This record gives sequence, structure tokens and C-alpha cells, in this order.
Amino acid sequence: MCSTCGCEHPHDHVPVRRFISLQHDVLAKNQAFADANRRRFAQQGIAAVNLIASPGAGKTTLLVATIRRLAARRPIAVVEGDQFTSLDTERIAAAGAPARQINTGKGCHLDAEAVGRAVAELAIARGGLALIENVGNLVCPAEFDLGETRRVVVLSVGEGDDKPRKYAPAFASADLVVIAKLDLLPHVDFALERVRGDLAELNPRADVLALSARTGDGIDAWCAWLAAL
Amino acid sequence: VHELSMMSAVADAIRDAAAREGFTRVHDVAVAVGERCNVEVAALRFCFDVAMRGTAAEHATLTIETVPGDRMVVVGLEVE
Repeated sequence: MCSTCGCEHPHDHVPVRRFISLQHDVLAKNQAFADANRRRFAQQGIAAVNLIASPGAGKTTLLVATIRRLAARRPIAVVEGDQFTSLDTERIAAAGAPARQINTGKGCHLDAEAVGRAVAELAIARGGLALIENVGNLVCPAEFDLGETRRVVVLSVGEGDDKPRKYAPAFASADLVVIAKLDLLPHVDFALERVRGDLAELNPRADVLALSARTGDGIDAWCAWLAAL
Repeated sequence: VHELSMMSAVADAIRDAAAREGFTRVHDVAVAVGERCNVEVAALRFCFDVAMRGTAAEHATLTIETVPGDRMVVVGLEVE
């Protein structure tokens, strides 16, 4: 008996090669989760903010300052994305907000599925804020929609004023660009007006806020921006 | 830099297609990479071998076509 087709006579089968058309969008799965997150956030009355920046730009410090200012007025919960450790979740918890850590391991960005799960676990009350700190990276996180209400890109003055042009896709996708560590401005070569000009050209619809989480300068404007979401 | 997660998604798509179409071996995987999708072709090739391990496409070749736009699409599979 032929072991390939099961017919009675043994004979050769010529393997048939065929082409299967898939047209499968690789990011479609993430997009489906992102769309589901966006619907769920809207239903639950949650504003979700996706913070993107390089490592060390001051995202966590900004979040700690934000929690201290806003947590008494509005429920805030934080999703922390890092390759390894739960150091940031510990800082957020110490500041008094519930937090979930996502460790991406080899991954260089947060994805919509993991974020959706983490936000659900945080059980944020209606009218609350979900602050999502993406993995420190100005490239990959820009590609992955998390279903956020607003996207914020943070650039600290120590990183240099050429970054919006060098990492244009991230800055072009932002609803708000935060210029952080403003207290360091006198010590670094960072042409703030040039950055504003570059951003206006790259992304005219983005707001720009300059602040220092350390001195509190500009934090009121940032909190007002968040409060309006 | 997220080439590994992109290729893992390609491996998922191949697993789904194998279950649906009943093939056991993939000879070639054809993908179209948008020139604005921020993936490096050399890194994609490197991650392809890693991501395809244990799938029907374990020893397959990878054909990459650069196209306009910002999406990455698995165009199709040459299977047996």
C-alpha cells in the first residue's frame, strides 16, 4: 500500500509545491489588541497616556512628580515597561500609585496585548488615568499602537537638540512633546527654540511643554494637560 | 530593532496557515517590507532563522521585497 495516499499500489509521489497567498499584515495582531484597548478605555472612562523616551530621559521621575500632584484629585495607575527589573514599579508604589511591571526581556517595546492585560489588572476607576511608561527607546515603541488616548514623547535637554530630527517617527507620532530636565538647560548646549522650530515642522499638531520634575517648573502646565484628558 | 517580534509574528502567521491549509513544509517565505517601517533587512534575516525554529518553515528561504509605506506584510508561502 502506498504510504502517502493510502491507495493499494505502491508508487512514487512527486511532491507538489504550491504558493499560498497570505497578505498577512505583521502588525495586524497588535493593531487588533490596540483597537480593543481603545474601545475598552473609552467604555470605562479611562484616559491612557503612552510615554515614549530614551532610557534616562526622566519618565519615571516625571511620573512620580505627577502622582504627587494629581493622585489626590484623580485615580492614577501606572504600567511600567522595562527589559528587566521592577525598580520603576517600586518607585511608583513608593509615590503612592498602583503599578504593574511588564518585563519585555528581549523585546524593545511594549505591545498592546500586554498593556491591555496590565491595565485590566489595575482595575482603574472611571475617570482615572492610566500612565504607561514604555521601554526606554525612541525607535521601536513608536511603531506599536497601544490603544492609548494620547501619546507623549519626552526629550530631556541633556540628550541634545538634534534628537527630534534624528528620531523623527517617534516625534512625528506624538500628541505632546515634553522637554524635560529644564533645570539643566544652563549647563548643556540645547537650543530650545531650535527644537521648537524642528517640532513645529515635523509635527505641527503636537503641543510642546518644557518642564523640570526636579524643581517643579512647568509641572502645573503638564498636570493641566493631563487633567483635561 | 524590533525585528525579532516582527519575525515571531510571521512564525505565528505560518503556524495558523499550516493548520488551515494542511502543509507540513515551507520552502520560501515572501515578505514585503515598507521602507518606512523601521526594520533592518539584515536583522530581519538574522531573526528569521531564530523565529522559524520548530515551525514548518525551519529551513525555508526568506524573500524580502522593499515596498513603499510603513507596513510589513507576509505576502505568501511556497509550501509542500
